[in-house]
Amino acid sequence: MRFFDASCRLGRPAAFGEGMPWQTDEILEIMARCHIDGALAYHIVAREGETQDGNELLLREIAQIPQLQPQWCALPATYDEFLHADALRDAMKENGVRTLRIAPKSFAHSARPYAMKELMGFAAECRVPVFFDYGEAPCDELYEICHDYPDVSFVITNTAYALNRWLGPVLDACGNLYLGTGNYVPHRGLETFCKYYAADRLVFNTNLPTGSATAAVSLVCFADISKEEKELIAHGNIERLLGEVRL
Amino acid sequence: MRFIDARCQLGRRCVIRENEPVTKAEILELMDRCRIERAVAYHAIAKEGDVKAGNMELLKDTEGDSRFLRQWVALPHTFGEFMSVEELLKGMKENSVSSIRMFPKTHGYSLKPYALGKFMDAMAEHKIPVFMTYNELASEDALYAMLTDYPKVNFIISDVSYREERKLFPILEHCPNFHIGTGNYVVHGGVKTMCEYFGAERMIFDTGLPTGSAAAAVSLICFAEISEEEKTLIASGNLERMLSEVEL
Repeated sequence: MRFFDASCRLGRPAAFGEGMPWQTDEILEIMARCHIDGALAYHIVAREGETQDGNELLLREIAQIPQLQPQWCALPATYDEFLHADALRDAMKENGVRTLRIAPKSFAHSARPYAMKELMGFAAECRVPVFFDYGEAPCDELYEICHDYPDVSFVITNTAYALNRWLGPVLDACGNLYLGTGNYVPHRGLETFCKYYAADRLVFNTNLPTGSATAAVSLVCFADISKEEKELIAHGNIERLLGEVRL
Repeated sequence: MRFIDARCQLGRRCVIRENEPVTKAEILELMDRCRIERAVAYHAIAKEGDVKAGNMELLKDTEGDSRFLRQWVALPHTFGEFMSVEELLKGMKENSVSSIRMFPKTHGYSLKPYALGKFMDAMAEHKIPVFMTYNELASEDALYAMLTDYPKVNFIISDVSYREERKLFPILEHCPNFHIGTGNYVVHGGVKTMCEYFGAERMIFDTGLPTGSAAAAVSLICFAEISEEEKTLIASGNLERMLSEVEL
């Protein structure tokens, strides 16, 4: 089965655990070992430091690596500190960037329409999937984001095992929400999810370099679901989302 | 004066303190000593463990015992882990369960209409009171949001402490569906002040047994500088009226 990782990170973080792979070569070696064909990657500097510099670093880092596709971190264009929609579209098109990652909590901005209308309007118009970690907009905030921007496909990553009671009603109410499988480890979680919401809403990801790629792959491989469902989760859903992007 | 306790937990908790009453016999002995006639009771397992299993334990523990008014703990129907609203209402009717208790923080779910709208609509339609402790809500604003999101549901919020008046009084002004459980509401002259500003109808006697002191809870009402009629409403009248309105 082919795996395509919908969310991994490159670059050296400010603080990292012993043994954590942070060099791109190490990430690629792990991907090869776990049969992960390709990955969407963002850069740690864009996430923890200067967003635009980090996005540029990412492009340089993966320029000669066909397995890795760029994911840019994005901010509202307040005070012109990030690209406005038209410039963002041109830059993404020029550099083959098809997804964005936001971090409203870490970047300290509102995710409500009064603050994010321009960026989310662009994402909806160009069908650019927007990723964020669950911790960036937990609980009811997740619902608010999905509800405020119904035409944007959101992929949330880095969930945890004890969130089903929060996630279920949002999945019921918001068809534009997709769940990254990395760290979604409730017992028989994928099986239950497929039963209630279908495999179409799950997107394989590892959360490399902090998450375990082998655990992420095994979670899907050993799930008690059909081969077709596994294929959708492992690569089909993210490939479909990426195929719909119109820049 | 007759007392009916609106908040009593049966069953052994995971962690118990020395001398805490654990068995039903011990709870009944305390109720007798404090002249508490009856108590609305839920089961510890329904709070701390498996909700459905705890609700079933409650039925077994209170079988044939008219001193306990059965209360079920409820969850959203998410991923089919709890009864649907229809199943819940049917189960309540069949088992003489007349109220619901919720633990949104402990059990980890949203109270917003996108998540609980259908459930709360049913509570409103069948006039089923919903009980919660104050610490299960994220903040006073979360309490206000819940009360205004579901204006036709009667909520009894208990275990409020002595420092909450400035937060709660504006909510009492705006939300007639908000009732306060008296257990642990031990602000000096608090019961009297509450009666003066909002009426005794908004207060409901509870003990918080087995962790709360039943004697203190009873004394708080007995020695309050309010009329006998007000005491009667708080001690039993308000709760009895509310439960008599339930339509299952």
